[in-house]
Amino acid sequence: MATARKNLRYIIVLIVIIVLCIVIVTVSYRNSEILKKARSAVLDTFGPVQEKTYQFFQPVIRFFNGIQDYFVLSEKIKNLEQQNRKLTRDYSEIVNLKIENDALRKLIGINLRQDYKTEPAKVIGFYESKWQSHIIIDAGRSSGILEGMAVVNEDGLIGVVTLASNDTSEVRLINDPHSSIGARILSSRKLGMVEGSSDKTIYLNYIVSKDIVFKGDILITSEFGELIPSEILIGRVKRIKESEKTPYLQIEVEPFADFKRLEYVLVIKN
Amino acid sequence: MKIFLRIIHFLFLIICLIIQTSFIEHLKHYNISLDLLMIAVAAVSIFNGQIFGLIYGFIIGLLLDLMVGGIAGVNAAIYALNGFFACKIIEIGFRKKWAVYVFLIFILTEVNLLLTSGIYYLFNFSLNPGQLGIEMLVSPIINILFMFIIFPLLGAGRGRREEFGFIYKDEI
Repeated sequence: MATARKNLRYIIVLIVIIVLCIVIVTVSYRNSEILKKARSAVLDTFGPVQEKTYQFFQPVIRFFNGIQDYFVLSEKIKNLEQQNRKLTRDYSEIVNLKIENDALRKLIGINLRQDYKTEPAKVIGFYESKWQSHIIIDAGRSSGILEGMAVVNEDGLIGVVTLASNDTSEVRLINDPHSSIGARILSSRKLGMVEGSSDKTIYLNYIVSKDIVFKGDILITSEFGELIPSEILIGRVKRIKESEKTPYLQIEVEPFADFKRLEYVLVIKN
Repeated sequence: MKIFLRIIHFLFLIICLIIQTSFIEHLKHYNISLDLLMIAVAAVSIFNGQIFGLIYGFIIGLLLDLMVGGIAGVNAAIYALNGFFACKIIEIGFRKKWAVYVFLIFILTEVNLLLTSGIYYLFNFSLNPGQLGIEMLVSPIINILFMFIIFPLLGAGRGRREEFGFIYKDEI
């Protein structure tokens, strides 16, 4: 009798917790303000400890990266040397073009291109599952960071701030299935959307089949993003597939940023 | 003493939560998909009983949901269920043996993967059966390996002085 009563008590607690979870899921799905505040509070509370833990494990993460690097190092050096030669060739031409462009802009009264205002931040947390791909950074509202701002590193676009609390922020990476960013193909100027997927592959969507896209084409952010500035490097076209089911090309994108090695990032505040 | 241990166990879960979000998630890049929280919740539940397993699982799951975004409440429900069933398996007559723990972690991992996939599928997320299949094969192995570290840490293997060549003290 006592065991049955005890079991009933457990079942009641279980049911209460499940009902509570269903309520939380509903509130979360409706993007409630209360939950946003709770998220901010949790991020701010755990931020400092997370930062220390992240620093503590950094050598281990680097060690794993090092092992992976070891097997591809010679190929990587070869590619970098090739890239370096090309960049050196292009450099003088680009400097000349920039001077010429600035002079012409002045002449016809168009504003000169402005550098972005950025806020440096350290990555202190990471979460990846089939349905999400997020990082946590150690800068928040107190540093002027707002939701929707672009986050980049030296290689290119990483993601977008989805939640800014006081001292920490949550960033949705561009390979997250929910991520969708306006993009342009640099050479052909075609517009599309760079979207993540559950297997963490990034795709350039909404490019019609009749458009010509080449493997290796570079993608940049489009000028139509509200808080994401234009012309930020995203990645290059890796694979192109045509499908009879849709009128669009299936374009796989290789991002410039390496999400395994994110340590320091910049949040673009413009 | 019991209250003190329960506080220690809760702090242990918090540490696991921080390690999961700061370090273990990185290992997923190398196809090491470890669910440290699930193992810790199962161990805490076996050690403290169903109610604490349920409540601790719920709190830790909710904190994880709040920390990493996504749909809040999903991990809370899953870890609460983990806590409940981990203890239930022991209660229905299975002895506190390593073989039982291995079976428990295997079952919990598989159920978690299926449950999470099912819930997210209901929320209109795409589901890749191939990827899920591979995960269902690999994840239990990694989780079981880590179980051999986590369970003794929490003393869930107490009372079993020698089994599979492992020797534990009776006290923590």
